[in-house]
Amino acid sequence: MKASASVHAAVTRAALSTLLSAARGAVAWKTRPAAIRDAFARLSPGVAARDSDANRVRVAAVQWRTTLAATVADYVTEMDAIVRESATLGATVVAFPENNGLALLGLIPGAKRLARTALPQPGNKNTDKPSDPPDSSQEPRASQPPDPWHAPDSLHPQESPQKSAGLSPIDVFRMMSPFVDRVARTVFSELAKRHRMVIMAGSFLVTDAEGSVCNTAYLFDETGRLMGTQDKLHLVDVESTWGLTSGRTLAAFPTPFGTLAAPVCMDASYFETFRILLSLGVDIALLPIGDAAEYRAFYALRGIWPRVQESPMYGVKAALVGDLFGQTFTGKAGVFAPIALTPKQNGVLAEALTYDRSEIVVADLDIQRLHMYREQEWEDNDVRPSLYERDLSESYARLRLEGKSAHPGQP
Amino acid sequence: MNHPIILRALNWRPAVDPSPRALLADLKHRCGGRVDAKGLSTVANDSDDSAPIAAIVLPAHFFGCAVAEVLGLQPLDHAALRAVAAAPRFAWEEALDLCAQAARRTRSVLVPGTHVRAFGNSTRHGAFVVGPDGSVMAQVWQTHRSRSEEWLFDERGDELPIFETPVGNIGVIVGRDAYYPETARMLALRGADVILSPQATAAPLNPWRQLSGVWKDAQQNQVFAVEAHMQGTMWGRSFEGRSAILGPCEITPDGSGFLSEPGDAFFESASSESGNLESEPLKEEPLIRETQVGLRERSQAQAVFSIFPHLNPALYRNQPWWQTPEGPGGNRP
Repeated sequence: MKASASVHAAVTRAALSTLLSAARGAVAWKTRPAAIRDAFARLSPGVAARDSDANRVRVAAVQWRTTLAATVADYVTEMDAIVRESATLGATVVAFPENNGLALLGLIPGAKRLARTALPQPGNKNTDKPSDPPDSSQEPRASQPPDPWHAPDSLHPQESPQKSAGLSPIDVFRMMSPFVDRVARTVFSELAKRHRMVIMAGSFLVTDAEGSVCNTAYLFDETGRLMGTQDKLHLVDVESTWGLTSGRTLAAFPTPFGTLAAPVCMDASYFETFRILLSLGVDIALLPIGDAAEYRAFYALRGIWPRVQESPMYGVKAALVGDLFGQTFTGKAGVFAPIALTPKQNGVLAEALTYDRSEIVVADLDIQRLHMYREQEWEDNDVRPSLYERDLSESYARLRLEGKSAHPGQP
Repeated sequence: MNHPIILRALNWRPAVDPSPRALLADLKHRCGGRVDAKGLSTVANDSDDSAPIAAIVLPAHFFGCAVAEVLGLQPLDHAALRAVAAAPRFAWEEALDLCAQAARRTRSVLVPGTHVRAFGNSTRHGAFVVGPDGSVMAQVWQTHRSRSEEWLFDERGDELPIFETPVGNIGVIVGRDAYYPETARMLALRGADVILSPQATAAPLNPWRQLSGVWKDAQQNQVFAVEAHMQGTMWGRSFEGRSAILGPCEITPDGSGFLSEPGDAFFESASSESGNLESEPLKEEPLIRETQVGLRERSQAQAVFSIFPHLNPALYRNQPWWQTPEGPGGNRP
């Protein structure tokens, strides 16, 4: 009986591997460089954004209701429209949401069907396959590669995804990684160049040099050069369960108008992130978020808003909204600042009116005023290295040794 | 451990509300010995020793005013502040005795506000912690000194103790230490369940500013917290704040993180359909805010929204933000 189950699992894995390979081929074809070039060729010329003042910059925070892209051209068209509108609003920096690459899962044959149900999450009992009729928007089945979602026990294992004989989300993210990375680098570089915008492209699930899947934000300058990437440093439970890996370093990106950084979503629930950014001289934190939860104002207030009060800088929050894979994403894009630097004395420079629709909010940031505030007005600028070294550093080390934190096991 | 814990925060206006001596003597009747099903206090008689253990926080500078009262000083001017800081031992002991009696009568861990105390040529700002048996558990000193406090004291404390009490593991955050996130993190990582924080915030009240203090600490560390605010004018400075009992958003019915009455009023429209946060003018503050909680609720919040398991010590070790010169003022970029 055990031998039979083992053989069944091996056969299932082999079949899934074949299906995944076929899906990989389909996505590779859809994201080939020529397809991306063709998509851009159909667009009207870019709206050249106005020049940034040395000290003032207008930023745009994108709130995007995500949908699955059937073709890479769909994705390019949608992203271009957002950058174009941001440029029209006078912004020279635009920030996109977390998991901005989820839309690209639509390139996988059969993904639209999957998108109507749930990815496995801790405690998520909704593991039934959808029984909808075939998606009429798909190309004829005869020309489609095999559909990995129809494989038994595929994306919906009953227990731990890692232990399943079928596919886990991490397998899909890993399979998609080179193509998602290609699209992110090519599309947003071209958009930045066309519209002369600094673009934080949002985050994408891609593999790092060691093959681990990370939730990674991309940042491009106005010439289209990739300034750098930033792996998410503090995961949520579901990401850990899926097997994502958190980053180990925070990067800062100097520009002529100020120093930028791109921490990702939950990174703003940890003051440590923003203390490090402050020590790196960051002026503007561009934060992509994607919260799969009901919107509640005070819950939302626990992220970037208190962080920019504790560690004075500007915070630009871009939010993913909409329904995908059985999840409802909510959130409000906004631009935040130390209370003293906001006209209403509330720490908010601009905020979306809704939490479930596409919007773009813009605000002007005065970097010189921020520097003056830090140097002359910031009330709570004391620092206690010896105290932190003794108490905080030791507590962190203990968490690692006890395996109660990210990257456990080492002092 | 999930026996009910009562958390209380007092608002207090020097020279308007009862004097420290009168308030401490009357504390039991003001607080009551127990709370009813709605979490509101009922008055117990002096012989009632079955009331649940509570924690009570009085506003910043209350204890300094108590010492001033023992000395027969008007506590509202700078001369009194200096005299209290250098007060003879008997004055401290007499004021502490009043607190000890109040702690015993109310079966409470009592943080009787704060005081400034001189040590030779330097001064510190701190708070006593008095146990339910009336014993002085410790004197906790403020560990950071903000710009606006440079006139008030000049030496910072180096210890942030945790107190194991019937109310749970308690940490005390003195004044503006609440605006330094490292403080609450150090306490929470070492096991604090409840943070008690005497506060005096410069007027006019800006709810947003207050939210960036103890509320933010409670959320970021998923602890219960009690903040007690002094109201009115001392030393030519005006103070205004809203005393509150706080907890993780997940365990509060409206998701606000406010467990006591002011939470409902803090941002009236927070739970409105639009979800926009707009501040409302302060209403008349009652003397006491209180609520009853159980430590198990904290665990439930941690299970729903897990923060500590995803701390990233490797990152903090690689990029220790605190490795800048020590000393207040201008030492951050």
